[in-house]
Amino acid sequence: MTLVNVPVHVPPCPVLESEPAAAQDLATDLRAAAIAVKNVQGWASSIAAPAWLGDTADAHDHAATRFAARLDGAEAAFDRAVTAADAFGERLVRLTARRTRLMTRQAEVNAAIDVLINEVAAATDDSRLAEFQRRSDDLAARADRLRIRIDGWLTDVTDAETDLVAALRGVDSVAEGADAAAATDRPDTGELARRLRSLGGDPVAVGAWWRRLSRAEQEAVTTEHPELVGAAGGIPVSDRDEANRGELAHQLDHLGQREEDGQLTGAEKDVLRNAKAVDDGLDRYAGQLDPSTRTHLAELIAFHPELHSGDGGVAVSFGDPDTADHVSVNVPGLTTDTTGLAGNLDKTHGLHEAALAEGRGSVASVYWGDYDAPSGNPLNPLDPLGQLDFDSVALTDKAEAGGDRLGGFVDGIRGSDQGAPAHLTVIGHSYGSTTVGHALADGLPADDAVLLGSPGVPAATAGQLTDAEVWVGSKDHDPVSLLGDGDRGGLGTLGHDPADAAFGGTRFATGDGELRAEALLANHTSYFKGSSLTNMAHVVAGEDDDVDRQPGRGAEGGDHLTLPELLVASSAASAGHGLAEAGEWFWDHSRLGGIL
Amino acid sequence: MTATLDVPYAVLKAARERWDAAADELEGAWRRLAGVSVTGLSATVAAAVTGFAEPWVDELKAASQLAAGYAEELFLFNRMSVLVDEAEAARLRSLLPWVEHDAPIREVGGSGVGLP
Repeated sequence: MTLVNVPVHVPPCPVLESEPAAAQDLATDLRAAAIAVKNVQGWASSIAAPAWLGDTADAHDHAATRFAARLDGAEAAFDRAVTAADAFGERLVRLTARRTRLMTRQAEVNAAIDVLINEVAAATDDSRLAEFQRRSDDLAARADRLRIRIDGWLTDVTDAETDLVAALRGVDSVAEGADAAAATDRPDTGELARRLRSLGGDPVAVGAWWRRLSRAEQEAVTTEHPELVGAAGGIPVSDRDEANRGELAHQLDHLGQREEDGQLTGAEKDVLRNAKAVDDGLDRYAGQLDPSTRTHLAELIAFHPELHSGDGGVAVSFGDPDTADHVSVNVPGLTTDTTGLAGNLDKTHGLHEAALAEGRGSVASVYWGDYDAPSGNPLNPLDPLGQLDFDSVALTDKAEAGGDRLGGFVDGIRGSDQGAPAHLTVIGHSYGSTTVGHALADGLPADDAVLLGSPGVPAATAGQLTDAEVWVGSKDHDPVSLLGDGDRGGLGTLGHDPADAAFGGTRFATGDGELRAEALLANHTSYFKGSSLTNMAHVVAGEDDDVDRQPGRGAEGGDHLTLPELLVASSAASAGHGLAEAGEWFWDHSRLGGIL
Repeated sequence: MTATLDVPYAVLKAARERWDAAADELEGAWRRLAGVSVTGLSATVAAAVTGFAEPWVDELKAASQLAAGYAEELFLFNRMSVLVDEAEAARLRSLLPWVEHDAPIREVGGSGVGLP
């Protein structure tokens, strides 16, 4: 028997020692320090001697002037370090993707080698010798090419590290920082910020302008004005995430220091509380990485801890809306504030996983809590704030303002979308559905809209509301969903009941919820579970045919109680559980009971 | 002979608060930098990050302490209203915004005389 020289296995591509998510964390830390330095340097410059005085004795003796000059070196050093860390992270993402492809190819080649070895071993004569030799030669050539590609990959890994190390070593002394500050090619952040402000309302123009900037310019303006970059629709979401995470870390550092000193003002206490809540929320998902890029799955798209009467504003995405095939944006309702972020992220993540499991492409699921939602819950008799705040719930002003803000946000992520436009679903729960309704009425560019437990929307029909396909999840034992004007009446203060058959939306199955007084609130807050969640996932992933539908209210099979009937019936049901008194109390004391 | 500065109380107070805020902000920055995340980075990169951070931690810490010292000087002047001599008054004046760089320094007789 003649020997066949079968090639040896191709060794695996080594594991990346530096991980993309770790590079992100490094860059965030550096940005946080840079933001702080720039804030102080900017203030010191603003009260410094005018530049035309130069280094005269007076100017030289002026503390803020000296301080500004001293910090300018730190600022320039941090700008270079942040830029290098950002570039390093981006290279690691590309290297990760290349490694995945190389490992796939390595598995294919090695499997083919194994097949050949087995066939050669099983051969009893030389009849297939020529074929074996040809296949062996072919595999050897493929293996050689693959080894060269792996070597090239290793070289690029080394280059990426070398470049970062060189950049950091180039500014790792105060003297080198001063040299960097004197460089003539430093970005003009003042001009960059002015330009960004002037383009503010036009995400497409912002995106085009941003792409023309160098990385150094992008990073310089990000750390000089993180609040501008983080909120600018049209800038890639990953860059907005960087700005917002940098600012979050900076707020935690700065206000944490002031807290230690006992110097926090009331407004600063709100900001720090909200920042801590966002940090905790992101921490819960810090270990979840995007499977293709190995970067953090969660992206902080909006961070406004000072807004909305101290409640703060925040938007977090699981997955990248710029590259995802399907994007959902869910808007919460009553009692939304930043301290409740963790629970809302859990719901959003649950929807993300369910939509991904549909297998219809990549998904980004956004939680958007960046409007001034009513603070109290009028349905909870134990919540006096809710009773007080009922007027603002009953009025639509906060929903209108929130809808306007939501429209700006969605325009922004539409503006930074890459490739074919994503299939976009906007989801509103409770008062958030009214907010979504106002945004839709103003032309929100969504493909699908999901209204959950809605107290009403500002149009009598889906067609009048929007061109998007409207889906409705309304449990018949959810009292909030019975507030809208529908087939059997209803308050209608916030608009029309979208579950009404005459509205013309598509109602999907959610179950009715329990008919007991103490379960009514739970019925209202459990749409991100069970059949309701499954059906939403179908909608988000574009699997409309899989949605389990149920008749609209007023249609055949769509019988339901009115709100007064529900409250009486639920009290009676509770009697069976020894809770009649609770039901009566609910009825007597709730503002709804008083009104209806 | 002691001296005092003719500047509005609000200017002194704002300057003190702003230097104090600067100290806090820079302290937060150097503490962030001192704990900079190197988990998940190669040993080569981690060493370079640490090598970059160390001198800047020292620099920002020094700047923070300097700002805190300025805030403290202004705080003490708020309470005492008088300074040892004109040189000391000029030094304190240099901690204020440049627009105050010509603020009058006035001699006060004896000791313990308050601001006008």
